[in-house]
Amino acid sequence: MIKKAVIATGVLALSAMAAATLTFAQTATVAPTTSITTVAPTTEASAPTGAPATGRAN
Amino acid sequence: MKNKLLIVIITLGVGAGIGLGFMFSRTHNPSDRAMPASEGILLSTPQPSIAPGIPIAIVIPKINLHASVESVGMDSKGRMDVPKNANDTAWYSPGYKPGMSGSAVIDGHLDRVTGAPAVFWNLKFLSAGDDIIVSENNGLVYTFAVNRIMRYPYDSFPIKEVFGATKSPMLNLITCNGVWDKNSKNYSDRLVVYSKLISQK
Repeated sequence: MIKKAVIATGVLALSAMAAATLTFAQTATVAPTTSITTVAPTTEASAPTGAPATGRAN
Repeated sequence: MKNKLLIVIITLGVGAGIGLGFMFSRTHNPSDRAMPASEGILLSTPQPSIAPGIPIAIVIPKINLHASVESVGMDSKGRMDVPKNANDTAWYSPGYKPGMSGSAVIDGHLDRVTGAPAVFWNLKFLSAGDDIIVSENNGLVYTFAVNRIMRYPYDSFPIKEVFGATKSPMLNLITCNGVWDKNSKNYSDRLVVYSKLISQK
C-alpha cells in the first residue's frame, strides 16, 4: 500500500513539475512588453510664405 | 496509521512538486530577465559632445561686415520676419540652423528710413568663393563659401529654393534690391546670396 502511495506521489510531483515547465516554455516565447518608441526626424523645416521686408528699417 | 502516513506522503510530494515548479517559473519569467546590453544602448539617449547652439554673430570679411544675429520667426503676413535693429541680421529659427543639412536663412535690412545704409547694404558686392562666417553661442564656428548671387522679383520669390531641404548645409542671405515703392513701402526685388558650408570649428 505504501509503495503504491509513494509511486502515486512521485507521479503527481513529476506532473506538477512538467506543468510548470510547460508554462515556462510558453511564457518564455512571449515578446517583452518593453517597447521602443522612435520619432521620425523632421525632414522639412517650416518655411514662411513670403520674402522678408528688408527695406527701409525704422 | 497507514492511511495517515499515506496522506502525509502525498501532501509532501504534491507540495514539493508545486514548489519546485513555482520557483522554476519565477526565476525564468521573461519580464524579470535582465535587459541585454544592445537594448540598453537603443533606449539610451545619445549625449552630444557639444550643446546645440544658435547663431549669434556673422562676419563677412569681403565687405567688412561684423554683425549680431537675432532669432526671428514669421511676421503677421507669414513672411520671414526682419531684425529689430538695422545693424543686426536675423536668423529664421523655424527653419534650418546653420551647419545642419538644409537651407539656413539669415536676412538683414538694405537701408533705413532715412535712406542710409543698413547691415546688408554691401551684400551685392559679394561674389562666388567669398567667405561667410557664422558663430554660435556654444562656441562652434561655421564657414560658408558663396556659390551664387540671385535677384528675384518680390512677387515671384522662390520660397522652396531659398528655405527648403538640401543634402548639404547651406546658408542663404536675403536683403532688398531693386526699386523702392512709396505706396507699398516695399522694394521690387530681393537679393539672395547662396553659400555652402566649407568648414566647421
